[in-house]
Amino acid sequence: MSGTFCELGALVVYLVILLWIGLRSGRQVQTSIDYTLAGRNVPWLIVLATTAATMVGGGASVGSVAKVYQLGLAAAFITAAWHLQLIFTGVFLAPRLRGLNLITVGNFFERRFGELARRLSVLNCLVFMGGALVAQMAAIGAITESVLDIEYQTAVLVGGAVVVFYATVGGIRAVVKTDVLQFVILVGGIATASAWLLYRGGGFEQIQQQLSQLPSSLTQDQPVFALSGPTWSTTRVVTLFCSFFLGEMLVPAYAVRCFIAKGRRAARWGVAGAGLFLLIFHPIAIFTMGVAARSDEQISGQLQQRYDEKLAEQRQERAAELDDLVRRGVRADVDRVEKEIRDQAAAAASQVTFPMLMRSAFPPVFSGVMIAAILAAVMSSADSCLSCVGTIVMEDIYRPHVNPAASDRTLLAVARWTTLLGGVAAAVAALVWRDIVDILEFVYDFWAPTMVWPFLVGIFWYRRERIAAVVFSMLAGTGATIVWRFVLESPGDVSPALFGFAVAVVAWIVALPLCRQSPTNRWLQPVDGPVGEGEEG
Amino acid sequence: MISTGLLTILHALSVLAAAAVLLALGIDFVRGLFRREPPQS
Repeated sequence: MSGTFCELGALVVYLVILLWIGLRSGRQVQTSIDYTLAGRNVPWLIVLATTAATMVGGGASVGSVAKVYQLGLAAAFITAAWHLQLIFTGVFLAPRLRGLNLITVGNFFERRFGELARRLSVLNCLVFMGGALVAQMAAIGAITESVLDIEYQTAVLVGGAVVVFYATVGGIRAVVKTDVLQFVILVGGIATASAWLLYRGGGFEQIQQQLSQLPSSLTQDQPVFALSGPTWSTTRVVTLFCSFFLGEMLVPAYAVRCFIAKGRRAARWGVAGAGLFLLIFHPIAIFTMGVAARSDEQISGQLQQRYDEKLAEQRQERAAELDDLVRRGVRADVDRVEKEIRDQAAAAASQVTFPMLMRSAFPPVFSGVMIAAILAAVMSSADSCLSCVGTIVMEDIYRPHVNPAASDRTLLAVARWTTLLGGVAAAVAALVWRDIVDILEFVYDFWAPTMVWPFLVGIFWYRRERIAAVVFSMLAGTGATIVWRFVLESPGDVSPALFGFAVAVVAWIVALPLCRQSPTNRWLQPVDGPVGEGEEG
Repeated sequence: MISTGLLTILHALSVLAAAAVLLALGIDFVRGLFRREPPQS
């Protein structure tokens, strides 16, 4: 039986199971709360699995192994920031958020800071989730194309259709169940693969010795077994670590994992447990896979060949630009473009490190399951984004602005239709603009500066008279991010998210002395929500 | 430079953690198969 046939077979079986789970979950959905929050009845172990599956998307699996291949331990180390963020969220924030019986992030802002903050937060959530959804749809196509040689368009259509189907029919119930399946495949696959590859390579010491004897022109001059080096200095590693920690804190896809838990305790242990598990499991597993690929002569040879091809393609694409710079004699710009070309070629070439490892290490049936696991990683992130978009439109737009007296049946229909149309629109956007991921990269910079500080203030240091200071900090953070990213073009390699967050905190501190009384403006009046402390789970 | 011994211990821990979580999910799944659903009102 040929390898490709086995891989495709495993993929088809996997997609059929996802569709079946969607149909089965659809039968259990009776109300809008069932559809958007799984009846707020999810036990902690399942919260753990769904949160971890959402965290490990294409970037944290295929992307991180590729980065470790190029940059060594530093690339694995910074991923720990994501997991520490989940532990922080789980221990300190999740139980309190669960106790408020929220449906969306917008509900939190409305109850704490009033209508203006709510609208800003809803806009942020929609832009973030919409952008992430399109990016994940494009990732389904790009990863399937590079891994299985299936055409990008076909992959987006098939993969997107499956995700849209089960998320539309079964809502968050289907999303959680498919996440658990995806978690089992991913964790089982990665754990087995990393253990087998380490055994095959003779342990870390043997791998270290082999690495010193191999040429490394595709890889950067970063030492493999150190946390910093010439390419990623200590400052850069620390900056990236902080950006990773703050960049996705309490984005709707994670916040909803706090809301769906059975009670406060389930929210705490589910989310913090996911962070703790991933902290122990993920960085070392991807590090092992990355260095195993780097020390394997056959794989590094094939990747080098791929790098040379990508380099030639990139040079051809940017030949006119380079010629122009050479003619004008701007040496610094020529060097910059040359470096960009080399970096892009290395990134594109190393994307296939993960599937190449699987094919070299395992027989076709098992590597087929692992290829399905790669797709599972991307799909489990895409379905969460899609489900969140449906919930936000239902709860934050339709209910307050279109039909405040809507029945539960109408709300359920709105959530379903939005999920369907949102998914189709995202798939079409990913189909039409293939390079949309590069364009959408900026949406990730705006979350921390606008949303994270208000969340922390709202939970730890809340007072009514501080509402205006919070709204001011949201606006200042957004403005600072725009200037840092688009006007100053991120000087000193400091990420716009980190700079914007720092400005938001400073703006809040500066505005505090001016806010001594509770605001009287109607836009700054917090709204009391339905009381409920969340049952203990 | 991180010692290879430390990396080996961390790797062993990661595999153990994966096995423990998968086992817990497996037990939860099997228990779910034998759990009676309460009648819906």
